[in-house]
Amino acid sequence: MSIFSRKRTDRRSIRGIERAQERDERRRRDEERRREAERRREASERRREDRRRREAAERRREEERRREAADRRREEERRREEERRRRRRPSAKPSATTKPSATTKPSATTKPSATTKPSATTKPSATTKPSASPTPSATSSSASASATATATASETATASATPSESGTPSTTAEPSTTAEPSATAEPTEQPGPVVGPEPTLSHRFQSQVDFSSDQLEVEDPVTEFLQAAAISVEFDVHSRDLVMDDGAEFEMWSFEDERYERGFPGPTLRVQEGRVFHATVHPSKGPHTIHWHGMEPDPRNDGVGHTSFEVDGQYTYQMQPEAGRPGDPNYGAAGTYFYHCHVNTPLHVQMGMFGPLVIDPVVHPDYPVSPGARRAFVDGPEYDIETEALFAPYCVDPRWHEMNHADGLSGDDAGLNRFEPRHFYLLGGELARRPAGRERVWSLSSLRANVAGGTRKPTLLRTVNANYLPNMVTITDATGAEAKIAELISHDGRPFRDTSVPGAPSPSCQDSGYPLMTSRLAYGAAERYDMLLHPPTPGRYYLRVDWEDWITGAVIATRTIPIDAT
Amino acid sequence: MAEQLPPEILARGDLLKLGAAAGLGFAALPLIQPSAPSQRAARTPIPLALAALPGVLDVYINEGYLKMVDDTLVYHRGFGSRPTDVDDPDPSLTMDPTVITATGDVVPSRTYPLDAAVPPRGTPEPLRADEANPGQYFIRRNYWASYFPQRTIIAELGSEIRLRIQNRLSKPHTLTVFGAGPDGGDLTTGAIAPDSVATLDFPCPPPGTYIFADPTNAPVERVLGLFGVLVVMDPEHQWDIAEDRATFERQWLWITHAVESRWASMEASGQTVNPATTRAVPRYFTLNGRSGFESLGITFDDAVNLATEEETLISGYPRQLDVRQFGEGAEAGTLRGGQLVRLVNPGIVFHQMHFHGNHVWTVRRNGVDWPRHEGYVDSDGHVVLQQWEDVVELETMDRKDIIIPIKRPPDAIDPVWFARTTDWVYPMHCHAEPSQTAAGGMYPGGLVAHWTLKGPNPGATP
Ligand SMILES: [Cu+2]
Ligand SMILES: [Cu+2]
Repeated sequence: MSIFSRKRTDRRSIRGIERAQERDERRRRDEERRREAERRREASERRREDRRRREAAERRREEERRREAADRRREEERRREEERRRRRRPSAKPSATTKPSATTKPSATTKPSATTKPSATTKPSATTKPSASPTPSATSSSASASATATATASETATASATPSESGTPSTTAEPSTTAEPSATAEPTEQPGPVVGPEPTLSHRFQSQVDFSSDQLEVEDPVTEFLQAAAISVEFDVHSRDLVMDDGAEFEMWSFEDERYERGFPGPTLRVQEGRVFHATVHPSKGPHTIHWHGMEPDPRNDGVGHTSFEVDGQYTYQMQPEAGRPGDPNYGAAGTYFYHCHVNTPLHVQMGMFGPLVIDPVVHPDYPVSPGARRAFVDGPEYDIETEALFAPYCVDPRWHEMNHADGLSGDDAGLNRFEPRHFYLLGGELARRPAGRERVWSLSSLRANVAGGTRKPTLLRTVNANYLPNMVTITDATGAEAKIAELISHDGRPFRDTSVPGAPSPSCQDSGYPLMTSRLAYGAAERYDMLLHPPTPGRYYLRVDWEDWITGAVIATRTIPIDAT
Repeated sequence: MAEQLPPEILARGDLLKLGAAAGLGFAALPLIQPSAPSQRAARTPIPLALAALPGVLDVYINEGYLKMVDDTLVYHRGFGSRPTDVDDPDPSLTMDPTVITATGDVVPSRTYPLDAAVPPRGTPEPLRADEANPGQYFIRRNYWASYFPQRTIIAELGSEIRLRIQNRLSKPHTLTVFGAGPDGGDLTTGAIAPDSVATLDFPCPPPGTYIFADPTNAPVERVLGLFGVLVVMDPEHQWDIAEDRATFERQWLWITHAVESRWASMEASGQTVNPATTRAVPRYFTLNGRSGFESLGITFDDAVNLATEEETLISGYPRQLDVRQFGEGAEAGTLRGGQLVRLVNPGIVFHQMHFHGNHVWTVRRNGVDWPRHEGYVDSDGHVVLQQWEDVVELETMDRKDIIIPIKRPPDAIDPVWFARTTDWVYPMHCHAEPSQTAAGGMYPGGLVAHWTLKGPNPGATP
């Protein structure tokens, strides 16, 4: 697994020129959208004004609201100043190119309530902010967690994955060894949390529209206590018309890096337990965030607008996946996750702003790992790296893919309560060989599985539900009969364990003698499961996925792919 | 892309006075409202309130208009605590929380146990700081009462539940308590004719969570609001799900619902919705009757905010926890455990309850305790085993019991955790994302809440 730090200056290529062109195009479009939003905003403002005139009784509360808004503006201004102050500190860092979105405000950020608040229309920070925002990149600030137990772990677990992705210039991705282990970092040397997370929730709102359209945006929030990171990634946001595996083409928005340019879903991330992880997002086309679904950092790093902030310029998310302990059901983050934008979430996630995230376990001396294998969690079963795969049910309502960033937030009925998918997809494939390149949709057409009882470890199948509807997964043999060959081992990044004896180790279900064997798995939006496949004999099996209506439960679509067991 | 409402449910001037009368502030509230219902006017007289009987809980099947999170009024029916009519500006469409004690008393109360201390703003205060674990606290065991939302009946094991239901509407209605019968079957009044009264007496079922609702023309009457929740507690084990089951610091009852305003307007105008031909397209999504910023307690109405914090917005102080056993802590009087959340879905949408900040530990579904060993996958493809989840499936009519640990978020780095001075607030929301909207947009205006990991406690010695 190699993850790149982005060096924006070292590649003068066609791609660079394209990027510049795209940027200009984006600016034009943003300007158009901004004007359109302005028109809409004015219209809705008129409506609101009309209503307000009839609200003499509301006047008192209105005044209170203004007072709070003023407080809030002052607070936000103080906050921004604080952020600027904090940002100045690590100024020795190399500078990044300025984002186009930082200067031209995309339409979405123009809020209908903005004009009722005099100062809100101008973002003071836009003019005074230092032109060079430091980008903590792997080359300068990232480091492996030194030669401790973690390093041992990475050699066994992470390095074994790398060969399968050979041919990529992975040298830049390898963390240097300059910084100390994160645990010893001195808080006093780092920008401290002089103020806590800016709580939008400590403010009050007059209406749902006010709340929806007035989320706190911060230009370049600062990462508190920035540590040396074992892995750093940089994500841009892109928008592209992409062709899906049924030939249909939709405008998709997603995250990209240099390996998976303008693709969908977002780049695959693999991080190891116990090591500090950085991901810097560079939003465009309006504010975005990244929520690391199932990961549990502090609120600033949780990526939710209304409990922290939405990001305009850039932000480096920081977290340290908790290390597992054998037999202990209270610890360990290893498992399958996904990340997604948490701004106008129904729309942005449907547009494609998500990607897979896998947390690999630390390696414990009592649970060594065979060549070509990994463990699913610290004391979990070994699986075969070669055939490890991921699939994600997803579906598209074409109507939604005509929408804009902030649709619905101003109180307009965008119909976002009506999700009526017409196209149904299985995303994913074998993790060791996700095709890199531009504008690729990672689609699943077949799977391989190792026959039980052979020399190879079993195949691990990870699934992320990227859907808004319930799904049923059914595994059958070649005749269509259900085949109970899947063993569920984890759910939502946590192993299934036997926890029946207080104070005693909790073995995995397999080790306790009751493996969770099944031919069926029912799950829904945002759930993840990890399963080992144990086909008893070589030959063809099938993985069938049904999409069900979220009210009636009726099956509305089905896709089936072959599993070839060898 | 705006959803077109059929002409008969557009706002009508003759009903605008309703908004004003309801003290809702606006003369021009968007009002989803039918043309004048013809058969309705003929129905007189409206029956009077029932004379109270000791030990009997009176329920009134009422109709009226409820204000949605965007100030739209939507027609509802409901099980109320007092008789009100359709044009009442403050209709009683949900029952006030009531405790039925083992000794047979019917006590209006938002909190249970009745004699336990009520947690300030819903937050149980800790016993004291846990010196060995910086930033964490010892939790009081068997100490704090819990607040319950509207629509709740809390019955103590050993009681006889005696309901008297008056149907004040023009069509027959029924009250059915699902799964509360001696064999796990349903208990029902049968059809209650308009303007008449029925009684339903039954021995309290085993500890757990039960839905009661009107099954008429299912799910239409339920969608219109005719539902509630019965929570059964063992008075000998007031901080346990049941004897020998998970113990908790305090409990929360979360009732999810989806409002179908088109169905509501059809029924209000005297039509009967056929759910097979008029497909449900819910427009509002509620948790304990509130959506969006109201469900997050950030309105200008202090009373609403307080009630929301007490009933819905989970909060607590960080503590040590071991999911292998929720019970006595390291020292007497302390709890090694989290808080119980009863997730209940009388609505029609398949919800996916997602918690940020902490995984939750699921212990029970629909009255069946999940085992801790010898787990299995049932024929529906669901794992039956106590487990961690960050998304909890909540099918229609499902009840799930989960323990939220209220512990240090595991993936926060040490320096950030140790420097923490403020509350940390984490969202809870349904991940079937269309439920995050109100009136087709206004994210996050739907089924949302949050939970608070309380900051360092000034009262506790470090
Ligand atoms: Cu999520
Ligand atoms: Cu979320």
